[in-house]
Amino acid sequence: MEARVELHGVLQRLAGVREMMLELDEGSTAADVFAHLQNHSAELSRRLALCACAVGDRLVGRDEPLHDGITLVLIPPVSGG
Amino acid sequence: MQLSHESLDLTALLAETADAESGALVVFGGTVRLDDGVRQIDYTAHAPLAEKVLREIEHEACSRFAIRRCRILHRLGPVTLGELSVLVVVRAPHRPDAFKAAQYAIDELKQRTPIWKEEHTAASSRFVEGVTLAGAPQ
Repeated sequence: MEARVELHGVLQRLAGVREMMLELDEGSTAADVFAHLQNHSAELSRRLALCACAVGDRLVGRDEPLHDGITLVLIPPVSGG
Repeated sequence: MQLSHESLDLTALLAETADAESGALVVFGGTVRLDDGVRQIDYTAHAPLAEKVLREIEHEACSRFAIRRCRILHRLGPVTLGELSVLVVVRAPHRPDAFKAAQYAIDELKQRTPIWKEEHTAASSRFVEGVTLAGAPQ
């Protein structure tokens, strides 16, 4: 299955992209997306450890099951205001 | 609407929240300040969740404090020195709860809303180290 991953804030700069498409095994969870990205760079890996994730307007856990066509949004520490 | 790519319009927000039974009006405005050479801040958000969280904070403020109105408006995109990045407007019958509710709203916004700021100086830019959302691994 294919999942779209949306990056925000410092994650965009570290990964060099705003979004990416990942080919994942059936039964994958959000944790598998994090695991895939861990290998990109040490700094991105460090930042990912502090990230939450969301699907649409809903925060989800890393055990969230993914399905084909889903968009998983990675949420680094926030700094509004 | 809680997010705007346009300059924040306090006059419009005051008109929207007008309430004859409120004798107290508290406005908090956050502006871009000159700090360590910062000239501009670019704000981005995960808008679907940010809008939802800001609406929740507005509702929470109204239920936790004796107030009649709470509205939050946050700017997105490039914001230059002195410009408003955020507005909180609270109206209440009396001032103690109006002050408390406005403080609550801006504090919760900074803890919970998926908005990010990238500070720009003349020579460089950097994303501000933020607050890890509750529920994210520590």
